[in-house]
Amino acid sequence: MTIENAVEIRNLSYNYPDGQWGLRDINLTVSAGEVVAIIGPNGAGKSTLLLHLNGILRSKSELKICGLPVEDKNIKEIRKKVGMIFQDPEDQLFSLNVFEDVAFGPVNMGYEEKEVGRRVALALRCVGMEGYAKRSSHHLSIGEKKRIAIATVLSLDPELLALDEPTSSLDPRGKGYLIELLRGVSITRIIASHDLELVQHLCHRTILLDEGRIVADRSTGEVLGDTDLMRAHGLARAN
Amino acid sequence: MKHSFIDEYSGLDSFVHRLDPRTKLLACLAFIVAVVLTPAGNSKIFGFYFVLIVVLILLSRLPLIYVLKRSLVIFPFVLMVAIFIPFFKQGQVAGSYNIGAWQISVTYDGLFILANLIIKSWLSILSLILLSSSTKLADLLEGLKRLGVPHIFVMIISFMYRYIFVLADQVMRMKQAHDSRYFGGNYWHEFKILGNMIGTLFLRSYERGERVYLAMLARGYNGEVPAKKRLHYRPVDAYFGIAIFMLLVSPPIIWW
Repeated sequence: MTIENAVEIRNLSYNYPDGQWGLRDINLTVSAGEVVAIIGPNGAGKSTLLLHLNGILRSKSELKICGLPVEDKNIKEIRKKVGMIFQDPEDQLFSLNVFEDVAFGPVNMGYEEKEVGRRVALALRCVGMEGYAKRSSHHLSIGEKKRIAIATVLSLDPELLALDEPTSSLDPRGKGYLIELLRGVSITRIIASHDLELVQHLCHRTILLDEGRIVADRSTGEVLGDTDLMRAHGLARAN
Repeated sequence: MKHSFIDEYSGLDSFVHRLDPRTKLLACLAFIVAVVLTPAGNSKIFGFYFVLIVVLILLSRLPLIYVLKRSLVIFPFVLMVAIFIPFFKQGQVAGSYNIGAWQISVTYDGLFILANLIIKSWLSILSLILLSSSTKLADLLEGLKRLGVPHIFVMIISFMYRYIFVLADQVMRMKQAHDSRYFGGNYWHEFKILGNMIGTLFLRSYERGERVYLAMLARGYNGEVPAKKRLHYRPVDAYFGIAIFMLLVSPPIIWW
């Protein structure tokens, strides 16, 4: 049995509805189990690329996620396989309490009540937030919100985690927790970030994106070590 | 940020808190209908309903002062709608004033209608406060859903409750940012800034709405959410429902 690639993207270009370009000619293959960082300056197209991974944004290109072409008939299956974690947990946690937020995905997938409960408990344990089920999301700290946001997709038992700036606005301790948490998850992870510390600690491979194009796609050490490259794309200070 | 919630006291435990939300919703609706249908000036019936609601509030162990304070919010709305009635209603004149070229007169009939309006809306708001303070919002929404309120409305209320505090935080931060750079200016200019703030807030909420929708899509949302939590209808709900119904119906029969 061949192991399917987690992500296969051929010639992906995307323009925003207002005509502004988003992505240009992206070719990318991610194998199952890889931990890949997508780095790049603000506005490089990192989030736009992530939104293609579960078919929220679509354009004419050949895109396969976990072996499934991104098409209407596969969309439910793909959204189950891809756990998308948005930058602002306030957007991800829209229910009245933590339980309902974590249960939202499994309920939509039509699982039985008992199974939903089991999945929620498991996901909350994974992120170290047991006992938070009845709390209301608004009253959590930002670090707690980020972890619950991860639980909301872990409850779907995804094959691929796509995270957008997971460490933004976290204090160093919160960041440490989150890095450890993400290290402990064993599925394929794609992390869009310009937090180089996170990238260095977590990702084997780094893709540098700027102005919608892939500029570099090498091992993390090589990309981060290339000071001239990093500087040219706004990821290191000029001097 | 710590905000006081609309259902601040919903975590208490009492007879009223333990009732099924559907029972409470229907009882509250019945109470309001009864109050509204009571003919004007029937002070005995209004008195009876007032005692009924106060007893229920006491049973629910809500702080009475809190309920009374909350109930004051209704007055600006009632007054805004009804303040002109005493001036326009025809009838025996209670007093008249000359302001410039105009003669303005207040009639007893008008004042009578205004008083009735205030009493009716106050009794109604008391019952609504009791409902919302004795039921967790999540349960209330589940109850609404089970009573056949369209899913989309329930969802809108749920989002409103979830994001109203996020919005309040945003307003507060905007105000702080404004105050930090504000060194006095004319009044008119302030209004313009306020307008801009409201516009910005609208745009941000709109964009947040889109992002929340994306987050919902990403977790398999397709316009419907299957019902999940089970509510438990117990005998005590039936007893309470029947008792309330009888209490609401009997005073008009006795005193009408």
